[in-house]
Amino acid sequence: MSKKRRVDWTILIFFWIISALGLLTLAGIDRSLFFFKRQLIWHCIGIIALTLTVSTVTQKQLKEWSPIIYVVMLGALLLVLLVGKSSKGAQRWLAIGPFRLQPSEFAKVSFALTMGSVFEWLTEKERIPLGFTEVIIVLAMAFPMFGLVLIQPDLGTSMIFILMALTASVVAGLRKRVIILGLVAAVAVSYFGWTHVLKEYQKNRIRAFLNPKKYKTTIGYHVIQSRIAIGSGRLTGKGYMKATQAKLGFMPEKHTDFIFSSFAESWGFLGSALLIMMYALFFTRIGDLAKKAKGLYEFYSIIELGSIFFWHAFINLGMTMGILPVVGVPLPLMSYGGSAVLASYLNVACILILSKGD
Amino acid sequence: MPLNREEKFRQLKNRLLKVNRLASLVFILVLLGTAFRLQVIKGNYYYEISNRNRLRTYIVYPKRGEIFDREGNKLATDRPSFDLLIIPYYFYKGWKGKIEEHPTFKFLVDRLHIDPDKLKKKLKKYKRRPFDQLLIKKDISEKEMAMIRSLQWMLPGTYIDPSWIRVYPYGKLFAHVVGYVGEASEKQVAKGLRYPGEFVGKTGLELEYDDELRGIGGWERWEVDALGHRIRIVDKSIPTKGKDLVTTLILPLQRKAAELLDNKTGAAVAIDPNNGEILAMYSSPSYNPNLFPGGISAKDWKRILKNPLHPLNNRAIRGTYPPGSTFKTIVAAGGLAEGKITPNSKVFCPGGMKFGNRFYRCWKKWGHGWVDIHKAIVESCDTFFYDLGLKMGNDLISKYAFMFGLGRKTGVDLPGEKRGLVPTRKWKKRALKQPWYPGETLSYAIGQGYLLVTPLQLAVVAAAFANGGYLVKPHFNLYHHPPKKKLNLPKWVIEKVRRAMLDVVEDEKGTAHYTARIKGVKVAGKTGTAQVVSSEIEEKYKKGKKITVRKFTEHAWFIAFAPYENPKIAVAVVVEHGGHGGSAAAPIAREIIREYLHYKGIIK
Repeated sequence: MSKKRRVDWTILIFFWIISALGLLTLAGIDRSLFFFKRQLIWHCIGIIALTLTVSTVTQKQLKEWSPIIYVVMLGALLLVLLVGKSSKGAQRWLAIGPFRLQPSEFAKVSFALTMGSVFEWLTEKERIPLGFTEVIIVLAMAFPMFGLVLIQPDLGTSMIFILMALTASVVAGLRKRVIILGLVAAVAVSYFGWTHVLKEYQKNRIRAFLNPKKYKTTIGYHVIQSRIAIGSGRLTGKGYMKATQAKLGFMPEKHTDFIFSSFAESWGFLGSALLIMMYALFFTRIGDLAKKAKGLYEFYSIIELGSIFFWHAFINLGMTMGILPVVGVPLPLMSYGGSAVLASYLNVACILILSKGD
Repeated sequence: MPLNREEKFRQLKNRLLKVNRLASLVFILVLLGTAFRLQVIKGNYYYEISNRNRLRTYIVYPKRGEIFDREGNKLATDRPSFDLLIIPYYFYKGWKGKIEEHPTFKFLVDRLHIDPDKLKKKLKKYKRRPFDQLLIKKDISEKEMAMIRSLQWMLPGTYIDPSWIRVYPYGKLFAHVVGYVGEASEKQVAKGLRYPGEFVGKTGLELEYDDELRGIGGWERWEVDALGHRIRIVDKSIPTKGKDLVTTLILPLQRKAAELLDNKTGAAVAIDPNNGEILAMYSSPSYNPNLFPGGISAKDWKRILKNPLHPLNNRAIRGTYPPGSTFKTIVAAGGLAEGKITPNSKVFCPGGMKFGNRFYRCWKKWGHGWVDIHKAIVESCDTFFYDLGLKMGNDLISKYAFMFGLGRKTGVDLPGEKRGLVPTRKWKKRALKQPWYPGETLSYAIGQGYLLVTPLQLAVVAAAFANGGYLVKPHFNLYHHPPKKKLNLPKWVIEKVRRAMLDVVEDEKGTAHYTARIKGVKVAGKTGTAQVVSSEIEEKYKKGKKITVRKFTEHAWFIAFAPYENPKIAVAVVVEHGGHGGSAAAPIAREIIREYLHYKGIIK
């Protein structure tokens, strides 16, 4: 019962092992080390942010501030749509000085903390397993962020919000009728989404996923080249810095969304297996931390924070290997991207704060 | 209540444990399974594809074998050139408009004057293989090269590669013999016979000896990036130059023949009667073969095609004409050999011969009087041969025509040779569905009517009389020694006809006495006049203008050999619309013979 703050080093070790693999891959595919250097700087910023946060912020403060952060993040997302920088047809970035920040990355963290409160409240009010009303409350919390990100447009990230809500709901339990109706609603929403919401390029990605050979040189190109890269690594890989698919530019987005392909090309199946196991251990550890949580808020928040990593990894790896549509979700800790790195550090900082004894 | 709450939390945590385990399990099974399938099970397959992605093989074209004349003058050679190539991918990458509006396309059309339709067609063909190298322009000029290099930033994907281009230093002089090269056809490439963009012979010796001349291509395997830029060379094989071809041609003789036929339509062939080596072969009008290797422009191509004289046609082997009186040498030999006439048989020529209800004229209206075989050849009496023709009949005349190689290809090593026509009775029945009329035998015997020969065939005939009765196989390859065939004729028959051919030139009454004689050397020959329906006049009929200017046109023939005692050269010359053989064709033959004998040092 000492007041000593104990940090869970295990999770940080997994976190840094994966980050190191990411940095190694970045250095290996780009001779000028441009991306590697910038990513390294972001990691340094992340470590500072982590240290500051963990040493100053308490669980109580985190819980109290989460609604405010949620509102601030909503404002930021709104701001992105109004004055944001656009790139490749999507408006996702806010320019702050020399940096470009992607508020949606941070919105996910704040959403996780908010969800913690919502589920804590639902559980305390004996409203689990969730009925219709409860589901609507949860979705109502998710919808503003989901909507604001979807119209950027960023299909992948917006889906994450829904999946996060779903994760906590599954843990809390759902009534049978809700599950049935939910499936029906999912079909309906998919249909409506296809006809009214999705942009043509997003639809094309899904078409290409369903039939990659037909779109071999056009929109299916990403996935096919990515599969070639991964497959050509064979068992032991082509060797570090010898990833021809990535280095010679056959694979687009080799340092961001498709970094796993670059990694797998260099290190082969042994490398892929190592990375996948690292992620799995990372998630299991987060689950263990949630299980040790003292209160309901901490319990749900850690689940939600962990689910961000889980869904990102799962969707990204799935899409690079061609078993999920290309929706543009980065691979946490591996993909190049400052906001994502920083958000990951804040995420893990929150997990550490919530899991340690106060 | 607190107890209940604790219990509930415990339940929730158990649920989490299950969810967490399940999620991790699914994560590992699905992703590790997929990775295993891609990397281990299908690993080799993807590895091959990535190599195909990464490595590109470029052809290194071999230097084509050169073609020489007998003395080593280069008739066809190679010069280094710079070619403009492009990777078509860039026409489509990020470009949604029409191809015609693409800046690169516009540049190629406006600045390099490339035919937009052809370019479009080419690009379309390569749309399925967008990363292949596509030859845009062969042999670009220095100016063009500078322009492309300085504007490279706006012409992505274009690159310049060194290569060879075919050059014909003597231009139109050897056009029909040597031929020309062009880019390999799609069919040849598809069948794997030639490399894409390789130069292949299209006609002439270039085509005939293409397999020997082309050499063995090399290749370079490059590692390329996704945009097709070459990064580094991985492997290579050095090309081997094609075999050279040394021909039997003689440059000064060919030049002389071209000079003599300048502004005339016709052909001249000179061969060595002892072995069939072709010393000169020229067909007029000729064309410039240097227009073709770089891709002929539409304008030039149209101009050549629209020329009514068909300059692309090699008249020496593809022009078929009735041989006229030159054929009398063969009929005479046949008549003597078959015993239908003796050297002393005489026929009275009153200026023609009545047969059936038609009067067949001799060219000499007032007649030759009493004529024997010698005089009949020397003065080219038609009446004598009408009579002889009737005595022999179609079958025997055809037999000797075939014997001397008419109606069949000479087998010269040039593609596209025509066989001409020997009008047997069988042929007439099959082709015209008519029987052979006896009156036609009269025309046949003097080399008119259906009978068609090429100048090369007649050169071989002249050679046969020159060498004492051997049929040679004409050829261009100096290192070929095809056997000659002994004709089934008694020596004295050949001697008799030779003697008469000598007097065609030497005798004052001979038809070529004033046109073919060379001081200091004995020349033997035979004139001929081919009468054919003129195509020009026919056309005028078609247009409705009924102008009957001249129904027939006369092509002049002369075949000759010299020196009489020990022949070194046999010549056949045809001049279209040249009138009588003696006047138009004989001087040409004489000058060719004079040039050759001068060249050989036989006369000064």
